[in-house]
Amino acid sequence: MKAVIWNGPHNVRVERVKDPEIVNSRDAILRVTATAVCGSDLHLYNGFMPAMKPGDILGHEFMGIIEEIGSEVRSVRPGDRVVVPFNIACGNCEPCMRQLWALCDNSNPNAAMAERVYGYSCAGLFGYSHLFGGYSGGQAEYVRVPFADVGCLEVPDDIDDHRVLFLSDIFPAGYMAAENCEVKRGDVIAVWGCGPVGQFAIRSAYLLGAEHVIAIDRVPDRLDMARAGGAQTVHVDEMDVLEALLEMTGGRGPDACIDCVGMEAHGVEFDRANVLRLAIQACGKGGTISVPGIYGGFVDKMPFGAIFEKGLQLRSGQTHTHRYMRPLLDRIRRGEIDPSFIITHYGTLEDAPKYYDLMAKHEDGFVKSFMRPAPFMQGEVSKYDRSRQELTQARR
Amino acid sequence: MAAPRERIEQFVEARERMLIALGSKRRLGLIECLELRDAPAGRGTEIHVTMRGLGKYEIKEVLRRVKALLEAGEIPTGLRYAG
Repeated sequence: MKAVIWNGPHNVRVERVKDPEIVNSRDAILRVTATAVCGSDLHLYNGFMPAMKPGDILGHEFMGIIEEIGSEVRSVRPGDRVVVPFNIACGNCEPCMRQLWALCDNSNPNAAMAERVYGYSCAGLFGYSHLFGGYSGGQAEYVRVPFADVGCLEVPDDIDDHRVLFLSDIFPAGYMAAENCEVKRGDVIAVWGCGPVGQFAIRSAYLLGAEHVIAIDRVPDRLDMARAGGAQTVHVDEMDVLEALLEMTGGRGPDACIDCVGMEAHGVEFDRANVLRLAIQACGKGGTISVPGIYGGFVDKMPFGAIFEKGLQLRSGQTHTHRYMRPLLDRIRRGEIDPSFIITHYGTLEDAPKYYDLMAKHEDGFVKSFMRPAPFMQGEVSKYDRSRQELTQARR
Repeated sequence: MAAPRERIEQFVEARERMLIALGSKRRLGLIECLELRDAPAGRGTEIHVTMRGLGKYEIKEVLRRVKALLEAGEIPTGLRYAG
């Protein structure tokens, strides 16, 4: 099969590798019909995540058709069309039973490695280094899905792939980030980073009842997209962010600040946390700092005094994707949101190296890809592109 | 471990799956003490084990495999191919 292979920092290629097989009895083999490059894949691409090995298959956002199941899988059958969450959960351990799926005790075979770094291990992740299990990812024609009876969400036939693919990660990630803010009537939410998770955090904050959302970034296309989602925007290079936020909130500061940037905010440390520092500084009294952006290691000079003196709460963590997939699918079906607004580039697996490069450089208006391992059906791209052009027109 | 004490007792006594968790028959003889305690507030069962000749991390790995077999029914692996 063809798969997107990591060969080192800034070295991603499409190569032919052996097809995956059923290994454990709760596995399924999925024929991937749609996949994407995630913003967090950039941490691998840029060489920020440890424990990657040349030859690893990337990708944790994917969906497809079940081809084969292990002997213990009961909830899905061959032929089912499913979306798969990016984290892998057994469904039986204490964290899974508390719906803390991202903290599954049993799905990371390299838990010992993660424990040395973090004290305890989180769940295994698809295509996200050997620190999180060394599982092959879904930027491929086929992928092995462990604990398929827990993770796979069956998708109704009447919804296109490009509207449900992002239930695998970025939509739940943005939604949980907003939910962690415990949004109340009248609340103003500031969102740093208008990449894919930031865009979904903006729209989710409104879905949950926010009065205003203020989006902060430096990429004009992303700020345009944020405005299309109803946000007021702040361009970090054109104004003082703290002053702008004070002005826009009548001096109260945002009720919650969401850091959708994570460890690669532009600065100079291992985990470069200048966005997190700014969010803590900007947050109003008694507010919440919500951190869906990924941090992998250590952060220096954290203004903990500001957290303490303003009585802030800090909420973070990998998304408990399984918890949100079905309710968010229901919101899509009710027409409350169409996640395909995020797609800026349609292509096939062969386009993946180009998309990594575009995403890393913020070029060509790239926000999100939608890739088919197989060629698109006749007329499919033009249909999607037409809807994208209409959205672009509407944004302007 | 999110399992009642009786299930863990059956697991240990049945030996077959315990051997999978230990990785070898020889290791079965290294167990000096295996004690099960009820975790507070119905949070399952704690397993306390003393084994001769194995380091802390090796014992922890054995316990992790026991836990995975008992809770998930299998030992997780990132491998793409059987065997």
